[in-house]
Amino acid sequence: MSDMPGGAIAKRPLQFIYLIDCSGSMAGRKMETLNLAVRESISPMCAVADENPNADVFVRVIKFSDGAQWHISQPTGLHSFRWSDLDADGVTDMGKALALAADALKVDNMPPRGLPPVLVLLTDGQPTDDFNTGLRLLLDQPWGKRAVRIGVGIGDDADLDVLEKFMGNSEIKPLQAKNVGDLVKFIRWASTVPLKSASNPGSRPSDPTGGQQVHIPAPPPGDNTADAADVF
Amino acid sequence: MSDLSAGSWVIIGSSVQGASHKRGGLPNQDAIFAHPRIDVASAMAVAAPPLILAVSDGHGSPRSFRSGTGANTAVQVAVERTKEFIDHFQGENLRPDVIRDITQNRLPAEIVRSWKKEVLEHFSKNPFDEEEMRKVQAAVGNHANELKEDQGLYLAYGATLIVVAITESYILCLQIGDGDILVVGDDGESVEVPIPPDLSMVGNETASLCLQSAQNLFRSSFRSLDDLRPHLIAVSTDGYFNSFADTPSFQKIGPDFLKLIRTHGIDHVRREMGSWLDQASDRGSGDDITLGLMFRQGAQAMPADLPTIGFEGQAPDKEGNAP
Repeated sequence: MSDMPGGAIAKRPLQFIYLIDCSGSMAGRKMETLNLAVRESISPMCAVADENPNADVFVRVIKFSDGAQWHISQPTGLHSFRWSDLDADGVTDMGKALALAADALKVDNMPPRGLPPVLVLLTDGQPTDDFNTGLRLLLDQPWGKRAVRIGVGIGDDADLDVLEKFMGNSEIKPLQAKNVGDLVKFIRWASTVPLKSASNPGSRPSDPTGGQQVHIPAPPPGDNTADAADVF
Repeated sequence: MSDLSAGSWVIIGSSVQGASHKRGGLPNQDAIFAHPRIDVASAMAVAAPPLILAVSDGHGSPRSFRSGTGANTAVQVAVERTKEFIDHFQGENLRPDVIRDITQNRLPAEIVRSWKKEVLEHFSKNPFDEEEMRKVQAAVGNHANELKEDQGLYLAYGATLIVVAITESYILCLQIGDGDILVVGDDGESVEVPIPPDLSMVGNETASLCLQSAQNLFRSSFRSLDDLRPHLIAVSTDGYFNSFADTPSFQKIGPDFLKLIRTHGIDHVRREMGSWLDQASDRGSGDDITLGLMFRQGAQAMPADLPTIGFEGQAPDKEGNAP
């Protein structure tokens, strides 16, 4: 028996899930930019993870248009994570995406010693299915309620009210990317800053309102001076 | 009186600053205290029952910026109030079920009341200054205002608490918030968890002494010594559990510590504990880790080479400063 008592030592797992709108209106420049931005966020995410070596980050991706499916279903270690481009076609079944995330975050599917999960929802429109039921299913899960939830609206038609409900955060409003530069900036921010905050191992007293416990610093502002050609 | 009340118990403990706190320049915000007294530099205490061990985990979040003080206060008032209850009942010769009902229902309220009294006294002498509030505001924005609300000041001192008391007849465990108690039985292998984890708390969320209904959030266990038959009891803050891959890996510490004491002696374990906890934090949770062990010597003679510290050992003050 090695001298050190106990069994295997391990870092604390942190589940990071993208929920990405792949409806028809995302086709073209929006989806091209999104694919590029997520791919380019991986390296900064790895840098954040390296600064917080006691957290083991696992990434998954849900896509939604006609229904919702896993794009990357297996929790993938951040340093092994590779992005494969998404296409756009169909409607906007956002509620089903939240229900799929809720299932992944059920207590039986989560490690008891896990850090708060991070969910990043990216959409350019309004849900075409029962969003409220999907959100309720998510928030009914203890891990869903305690997850850090960030919403990014793409373009002018994104339903910010829905994103605000998803986030349930009185301090931070949904980000709204109106141009290419903003979308890249906001995806990078949403992929790194909440990750850093959720990686902190410190405990927090339970909140009687049952809300999120992790404080997220304010996101950067949008750029109103972008070239017209880059505006969505 | 149990047959296990014969002989002596040894209490040892260690508390280490977490790896993430070392990187972030934050102090250790855990605390440990016992009767008879030990100090946090891995000293020990040797005694016959009653013995009491308390550990506490200060939250360490930006709003709980005095949680190190909160944790030190928690362990000291917990041991003091528990000792008073035990002394009172020994004089009264009450039935065990009466003792159980009173300690489980009244002792938490007394601990919370004492903790809040001490915290309020500390706050009155040391109000939040501009620099402290500026740092909180920068970290959590408008949530800093919660510290100014009624009862809000206690949030700055927020901490969990676990107390284990062993008398000649029973073992009492009280707990608010996260952390773990493991009991290794006479066979040296079986592990019992007298207070199961609170599954409603996930992702770093915990009950706390700073909450308004704190006295109602305690969980407890009251067992006879003859029923539980403990050989070793391990009490730890959640940084330790969170450093292991899974629950069985964590619970293995109980039988392993017992084997190490039997094969290498209590003094070896006392000397090495800090290093083991450091390694666990470094490769595991990154959090502060505090561990106290209560080991039943039974009727065995004590080794001749044990240090004479223990009964006269001093606890840190409520600021966490060494004596």
